[in-house]
Amino acid sequence: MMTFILLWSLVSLAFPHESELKETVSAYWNLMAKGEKASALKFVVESCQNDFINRVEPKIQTWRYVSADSVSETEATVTIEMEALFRGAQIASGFQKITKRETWVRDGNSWKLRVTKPSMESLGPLVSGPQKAALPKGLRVTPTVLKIQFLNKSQTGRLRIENGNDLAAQVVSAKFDKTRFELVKWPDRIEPGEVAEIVVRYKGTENDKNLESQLNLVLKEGDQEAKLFQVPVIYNYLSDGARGLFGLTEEQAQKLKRGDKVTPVLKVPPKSPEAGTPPPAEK
Amino acid sequence: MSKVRAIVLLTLVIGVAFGSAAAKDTPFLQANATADQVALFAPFLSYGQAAGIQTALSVSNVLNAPTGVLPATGLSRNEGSIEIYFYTSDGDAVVVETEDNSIGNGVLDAQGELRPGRTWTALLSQILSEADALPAANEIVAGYAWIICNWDGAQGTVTVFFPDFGFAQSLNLEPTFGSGGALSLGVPVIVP
Repeated sequence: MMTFILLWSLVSLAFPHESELKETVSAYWNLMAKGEKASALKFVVESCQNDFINRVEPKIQTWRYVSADSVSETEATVTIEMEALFRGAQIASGFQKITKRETWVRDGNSWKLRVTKPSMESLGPLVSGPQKAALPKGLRVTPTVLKIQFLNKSQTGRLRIENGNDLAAQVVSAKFDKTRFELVKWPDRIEPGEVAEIVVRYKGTENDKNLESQLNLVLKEGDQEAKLFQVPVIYNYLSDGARGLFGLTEEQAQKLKRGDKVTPVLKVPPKSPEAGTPPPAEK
Repeated sequence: MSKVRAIVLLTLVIGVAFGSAAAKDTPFLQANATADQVALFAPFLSYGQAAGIQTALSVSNVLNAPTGVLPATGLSRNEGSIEIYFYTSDGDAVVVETEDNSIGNGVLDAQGELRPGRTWTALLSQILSEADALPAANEIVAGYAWIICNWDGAQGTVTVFFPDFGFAQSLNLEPTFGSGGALSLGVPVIVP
């Protein structure tokens, strides 16, 4: 029985000082909900206090402690739920219910909030989605056609070699028209699960559009037989979308020279008289 | 029996008449046909590594819509690649077309096409890097962009972040969807 009670207490208290953490978090959020940010400052790690003062706070209506997850013996991620009014939000949308996760760290004998300043790095995952799934088995070269855009100053195109195998791969050879192209970036080795880039630059001066060439890559993985990848290259590439945007016929596109100014020629189609007309008011 | 037939026939005629009227009201239908591509305009984008400025772009393929929102006929292309034409403040063009799933949030197919109902997001730094046009660390690049979506209806946003100032601003890509009036799902791009 005693063993059970001991085990139960260990399970229910996931990490040391958890109850103390809950009390501290509660005291902090009660002050924040009352708008007493100056009093809440004592709960913030000293090195972050300036960032905390500069942080814009919402108007909190209610808040609720949800959980605390231990990161280490001295660090925990605390989740709370709040209903609050945010600056810049549509007033008609009212108080928004959101979940907030913050890092609390052990500072001496007490828990303190670590305020994270927004950074470029923190934006990456926000708008670029989760980590991509594992690569499919085998060696793969993407895209299937290497396009070098006519309008780009850099005149480069990129190929990616995906190694979804268990052994490192290497590029044995690359054959291409050396009078027109040069390799700007070239991987020596592609580790398992890695993606490596080959960057090809067009160094010619031709003006005709959508010209074709080919890049032959020979890749080898471990002791296995080398494999040939034939990649069509389209250089001086000008898409149909670009022709539509700039109003160029095929003939005009062919005559377009580097440095020529091109202007979008899009027209918004006229709306029909009925479109957008609200129904007549009832009398 | 003849009355029932007449009612059924009348219902069919009314249905066809209303259906064609609704289709004409949809601005991305032009000259009784769609353009296969639509264009969206992003008024301002900026990136600077040292200055801590970044821009996030979102482009949605809005052709997954509740019944009745989109016309029953006339749509010809429901997925395609995305082409970005970014013009820097000094007038240089940076052009990138999605050709695989390597740029952005991983929602494109293997050919770089965005399917109906999906939203592609990418950072301006990724787009610039793809075209070998990243500015030096202490420089800032800014400008506007045209985005060609190679399908019939698109919408999106552009958000410029200034994290060091705790500030961000989000703008709709133009033309915006609109409210209460006709749908606006991009300017049709007619290829001459």
